[in-house]
This record gives sequence, C-alpha cells and structure tokens, in this order.
Amino acid sequence: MPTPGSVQWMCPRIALAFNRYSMDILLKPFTYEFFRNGALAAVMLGGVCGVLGVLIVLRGMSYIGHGLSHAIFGGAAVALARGWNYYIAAGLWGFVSALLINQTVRRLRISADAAIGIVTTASFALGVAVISGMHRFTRNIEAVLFGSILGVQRDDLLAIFVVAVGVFVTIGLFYRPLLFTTFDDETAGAFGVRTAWIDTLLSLMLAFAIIVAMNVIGVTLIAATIVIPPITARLLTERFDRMLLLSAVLGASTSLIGIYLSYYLDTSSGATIVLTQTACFVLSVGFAARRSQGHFTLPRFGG
Amino acid sequence: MINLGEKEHLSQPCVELINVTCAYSSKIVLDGLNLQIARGQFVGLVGPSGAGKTTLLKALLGLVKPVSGMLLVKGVPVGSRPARSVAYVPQVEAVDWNFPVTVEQTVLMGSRASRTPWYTRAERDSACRIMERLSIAEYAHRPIRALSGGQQQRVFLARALAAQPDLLILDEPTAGIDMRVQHDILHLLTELNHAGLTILMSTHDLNAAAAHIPWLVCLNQKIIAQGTPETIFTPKTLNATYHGDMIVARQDGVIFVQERPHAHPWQRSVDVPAHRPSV
Repeated sequence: MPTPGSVQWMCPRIALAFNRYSMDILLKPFTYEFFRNGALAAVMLGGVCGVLGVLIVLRGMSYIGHGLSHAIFGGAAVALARGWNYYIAAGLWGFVSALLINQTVRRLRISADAAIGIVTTASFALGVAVISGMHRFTRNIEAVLFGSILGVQRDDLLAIFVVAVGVFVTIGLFYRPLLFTTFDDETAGAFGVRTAWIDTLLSLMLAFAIIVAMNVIGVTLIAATIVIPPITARLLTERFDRMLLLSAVLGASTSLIGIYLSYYLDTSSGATIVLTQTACFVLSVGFAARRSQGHFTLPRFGG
Repeated sequence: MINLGEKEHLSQPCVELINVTCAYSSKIVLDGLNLQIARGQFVGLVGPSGAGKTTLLKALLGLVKPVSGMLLVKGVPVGSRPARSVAYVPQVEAVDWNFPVTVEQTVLMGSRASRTPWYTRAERDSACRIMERLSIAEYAHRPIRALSGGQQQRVFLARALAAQPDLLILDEPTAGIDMRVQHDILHLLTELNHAGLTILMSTHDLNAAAAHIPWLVCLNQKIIAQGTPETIFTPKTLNATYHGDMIVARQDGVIFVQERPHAHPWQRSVDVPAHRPSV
C-alpha cells in the first residue's frame, strides 16, 4: 500500500480527478437540449452534404451548393412574406432552380458555373427585393442567411432525418447509374442510362438537403459543407465508393468537432464547423504530400 | 435446317440508315444518308474533321436526333427502347482521367447483367475474364489516372464488352496512341469481329484503316464511296472525300496514303522575298 501523500498514492487520484473533469467537460454540453439537437442536426447534415458533395464536386459543379442555397433564399423569402409553409415553398423553389440550371447547361451548352450564376443570383435578387422594406422578417431572414444551429427544433430534426435517410437510400439504390453519369454522362446515355432522370434525382436530393440545412448552417456556409469534405476525401482515396464513405464520415465528424469547439470558444457554430473542415483539408493536403514524397499534385475535379 | 424466320433474322442488316439527315441549328452535318451494315461486318468510317463521323455514331446511339430519316439497329428504330444491344467506346479525351475509379470499377460500369444496386459475383467474374482477354487484369485495382493511353483505350473497350453487345461503336479508338498500340487495338478488334461482333468505328488514320479494316465508308456530309480498302483508296475517291491532294502508294499489297504537303508561297516563288530568314 502506498503511503498517503506519496507520489504512488497521488498519481492515480490525480488521474481519476482529471478523467472526471475531462468527462465533465466532454459531456457537459450534452446536458443542454439545444446542444443535443444542434449536434445531432450537424452530424446528420455533415454526412448528407458530404456524400452529395462527392457527386457535385466530381461533376465540376462545386459552385452549385453556394448558388442553390442563394436561389432557395428567394423561395424562403417569398414563403415568409406570403405566410406559406417554408419547406414546401423553398423545396419547390430549389427543385425548379436546380432543374433550370441543369437544363440551361444541357440545352444551351453554356458552362455550369455561368448557368448557376445566372439562375441563382436572379432568384436571390428576387428574394432580396421581396423582403426589402419588410422589417418584421429581418430576424427570420438572418437565421436563413447565417444559420442558427443551436436553435434547432424537433420539427427541424425530423425533416433533416427524413432527408438524410432519403439521400442515403437513394444513393445506395442508384449507385450504378449515379457513378456512370458522374464519370461520363454521354457514354452512360449511350449505354441506356436515363441520364436526364438521374440529373433530376440529384437536383431533387440537393435541393432538399440545402433546404433542411439552410436554417441550421445558413445560406452563406452551406457551400463549404458541400465542397470541403469531398475534396478532403479525394486527397485520401482513389476509389469512388471509398470517397463517398470517407466524405460522409469526414462531414459528420468535423461537424461534431466544430459544434463542440463553438460551445467552448463561444463562436458561431456554422463558422466553426466550416473552419474545422478547412483545418481537416489542410491536414490532408499535408498528409497527401508526405505520402507522395514530394510528387504531389492536387487532383482536378470534374469539368 | 434453317426455317424462314431464322433466315429472315440472319439476312436482316445490323444497322440500317434510311435517308438520314442530321443538323446542328441550321448547319446540316449529314445529308440524306443511306447505309446498311450486315451482321458480323467490320466497318470503318473515314473522312475529314467535321465530315459528320461522330454525329453519325451518336445518332446510332440515340444521343443525336436526326432531323429526318430513320435509323434502325437490328430492325428496331433507335431511341424506341433501351440501347441494350449496342455498346460505345468514346474518344479517350472525352473523360476526366483523374476521376477516382479503378480499372475494375470502370469496366463494371458497362455491365447490364444484373439490376441489383451492387455488382454481383457473376458480373465481377465476367469483368475479370474480359480484362484478362484484353491484358489489363493486372491493373484491375489501379486508379485509371495511372494508365497509359493504350491501356486507357483497352479499359474503355473492356467496359463496352462487359455490356455483351451485338454492335460495337467506337469513336476514333486509335487517336492519340503510338503506332504499335494502334495496331494492337485494331488486331484486337479484328479478333472480336471474327468472334461475331459487328463493329463500326471512325478513324483519321487512313494507313491503319487500310491495313486492318475490311470495309470502309468515305463520309463527308454524304457517303462519297464505300467498299474494300483496295477499291476505296484511290486518289480520285480520297480527293473527293478530303477535298485535298492525296497520294496513294501500294507496295507488297500494303496501301500507303499521304496528303501532298502544301508548299509555302515563298518556296514556290523563284524570287527570294526580302523577309526570308537567312540561314
């Protein structure tokens, strides 16, 4: 038996106290319902945006998340002004915007970034025009613009859960045509894949994901959660299936870490999540460079 | 003994174009084309850039809709059903080779044997056999960006064969690869053709076409001529197709085609112009 007060006696007790203290630190935020809801929403959205982002980034349409969130802002603003249901109005608005972008690219043969720029800025401008002068909506619109992850309600959680399950199941069921169309849509069409239908399906999933993410992460930061995890995953793997999985895991885990950090640093949760994902990207660039022993070049994405 | 139904089936052409006209906006690319390709035939499409070769191939795949006329594959109008019996090998430059897929994953894209969301054991085994036949099995788990031009072409060919097609359409499969690999690819196509596959391919390489493809179609908006390389490759036919000054040489049964080099005006001139650089 160590003598009380000796080093052998002190060490286990210090370790135990530290463990208790650290567990308190780790678990304390979860004693608050707003944090539990926010963390759950962030993890689900991180996974959904991560997996959808792979399909978006590899098609060379990285900007679509940014653009579509701005386009849906127009729908959200109109829904608020007219008293319509937010999810239905913004959903229809987002879906139509995504279809317009896809059809503009397909039929007019202009580049994806130009089509996204035209459709989404016009929709965003419409939203701004509708809400200008309506000061009573300023607070709601602020939530849509910058996100309010710690103000997530049970309804929001349910909507996010439904969209997350829908997206994961759809990607699982349509894995083959999604992969072929993303790789080479023209040849996929020649092999009998209904590419226009697959594009519509992707637009629908993206629009729904952005709508449920908008109140939580905010219009201005959605693009980052769609783009950064897939690019980070791409640096770490050369397989499409692994990239999907890795991007979803990275999106979910960085969202959890980000929301934790935001609690203790007292910073905006959406911004902290994005900064965590950026840090993860920087680390993976370093890892990829080290693995390739100086012969490292960033892979191109899409287009 | 062959009954009448089977006889009709066998005599039916694999590809039939009836007065097909294709256009982009107001520019006519193919003008009233009539063409028949029999089952088991190996046909090469030759013609200058912009002659409508790729448009013709894409029209057969249902990717380009003709303004008028009818395209039939195995007697069925193109676009009226899923293109189950046709496989396509696009130009190698048409895709992003940095895309994160392995050789095996790319080959499996062509498989239509199962409707399950995942690839079945039978599909993987079939893909493996095709890769072995095309000598790319050792690269099965390699990312496609690590392949050479010839290997990339074989991967696309393997993907097309994974679809178990009756008709194989290839868009310039010999472009951008060295002469030896070109001949390897064309030998491979000849073997597949001997095994019963109908093949239609476009090419710019007239010498390789003369050496390997038994039936050629000269195209420039219209069909200028068609036949065996011996009958087609004459200065008259080639000049009509390419609107150029073509030289055709034959030696030991081998045909060589070359466009007569254009001389610069200063080379033709007797007087040396003042700005000619001094050596």
